[in-house]
Amino acid sequence: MELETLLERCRAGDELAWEALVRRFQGRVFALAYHYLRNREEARDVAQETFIRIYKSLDGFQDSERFLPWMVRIARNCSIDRVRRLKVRPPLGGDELDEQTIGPHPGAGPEVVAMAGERSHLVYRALDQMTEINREMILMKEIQGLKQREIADLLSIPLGTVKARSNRARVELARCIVEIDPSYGA
Amino acid sequence: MHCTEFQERLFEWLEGRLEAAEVERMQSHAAGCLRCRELEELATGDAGLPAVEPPDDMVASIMAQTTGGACDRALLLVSERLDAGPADVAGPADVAGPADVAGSVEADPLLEMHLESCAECTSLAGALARLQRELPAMAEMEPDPGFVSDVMAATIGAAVSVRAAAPLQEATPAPHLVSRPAFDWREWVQGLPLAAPVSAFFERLTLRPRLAFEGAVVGTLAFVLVIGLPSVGVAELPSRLMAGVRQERLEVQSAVAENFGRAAEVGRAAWTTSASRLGEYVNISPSTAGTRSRFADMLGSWRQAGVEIASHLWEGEFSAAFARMWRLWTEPWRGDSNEEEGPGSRADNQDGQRYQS
Repeated sequence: MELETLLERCRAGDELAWEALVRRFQGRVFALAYHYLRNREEARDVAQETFIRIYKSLDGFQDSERFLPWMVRIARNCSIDRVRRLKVRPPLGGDELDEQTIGPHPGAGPEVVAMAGERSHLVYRALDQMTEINREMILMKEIQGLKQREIADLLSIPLGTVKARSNRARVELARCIVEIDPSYGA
Repeated sequence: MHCTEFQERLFEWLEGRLEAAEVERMQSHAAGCLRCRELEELATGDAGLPAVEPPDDMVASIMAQTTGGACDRALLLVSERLDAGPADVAGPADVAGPADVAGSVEADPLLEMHLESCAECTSLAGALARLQRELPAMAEMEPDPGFVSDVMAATIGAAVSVRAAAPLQEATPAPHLVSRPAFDWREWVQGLPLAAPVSAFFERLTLRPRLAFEGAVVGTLAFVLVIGLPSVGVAELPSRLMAGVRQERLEVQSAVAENFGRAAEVGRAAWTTSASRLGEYVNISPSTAGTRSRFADMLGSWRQAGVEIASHLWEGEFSAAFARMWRLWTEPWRGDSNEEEGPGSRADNQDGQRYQS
């Protein structure tokens, strides 16, 4: 079903539509929260809080094309609020990353799960070595696939800064990954 | 042919861009001119000099001493090219090597040349191409199976469809949801009788485009009324404030007790007194018999001081400029104390006389 129709039915009070919306975006919201918190339980709680906020604000939201950046903004705000509340920053390589958490869909085969989990583990270790702004740039642009204008609005930075930083962030991530695993780019 | 013409056309000759007649002229000149023949041999490498290979690190050394290296530029270019469109990377997703990168950036021969000679950039370019494929896969993670039921329970309650789709024990709210406070003050406020129109009014008020400007104007006026202009001495502020807030005894009770007309008269008197006092409070130019008001004089002195300060700054005499600024700030204080009728003293005297009377 089209997102616009789904949102319209959600605003009309259709519980099935809301359930479908949650099922469609739960993985994305959970991944966003996990990116900031690096803790499965906290990420689950923040993802739930994000959907509660979305549910309460759905009546005032009309533009379905902007739903994804709007949802990402809410998830990011919830995550940052939780991080501040916990007075911790994302662990810099010290936390054990659960391959089940950062791996692909559980329906995938065991070899794919193991390989993808190892890759994600490597990428997260490299992300932990990056600056905060570049890490968010990678998250929003490369992982979540937001447009540059949407990232500029989300992070409250000029569009030119996004354009300039996006490539530098990607190069920085590549450097960090190759530094950890020289065979990554070979 | 003259030697100068030979030297000018030598490289065109060696590059094969000359006509046959011109080539013949060049050859005949070289045969007869020893100096130009040596020049030709040097240019063609036939001079018998031994071939010398440059050191391997010479390019890197030169780059380090000039532009600082081209690797950053090359990597940004690789990243931009990956951004411009899908990389022309063939093969399985798990394999990404220099060949893939070369395939994606072959449009730029300079970049390709750099990648061929720089192993580090080749490796990083391969990593960039691989990241472009692998990062989008990290956009989603699967939460617990009971996540949807928890969200449904926290928003619209445990929906029937969720209960049917998930086991019963998963449809029960999580402990942290149960511990959440049930009272929501927002809902309580929204339930008040006038909540909707008041909320709409404040929303319209705050969304007006000139709200910030209006706030700035009101704030400035309030600041001037409370603090006064910079030329007014700080020492006068307490007395001015007290004079502003002090009121005459209106004997409202007795006036109301007599009749309504008396009360209206007292009200008008109070309004007139307050208005005149406000005028005295904000008026810094008590014009006397003179033609120029003190306010105009003050503006003139400020303008002159501004010109002097600007000229000092223009000349680079910062100390003199700051000294003039300080004098501008402090001068009216001393002036008021020396003058017979300053704004503060005049108001105080008038207030004193009125209160004595």
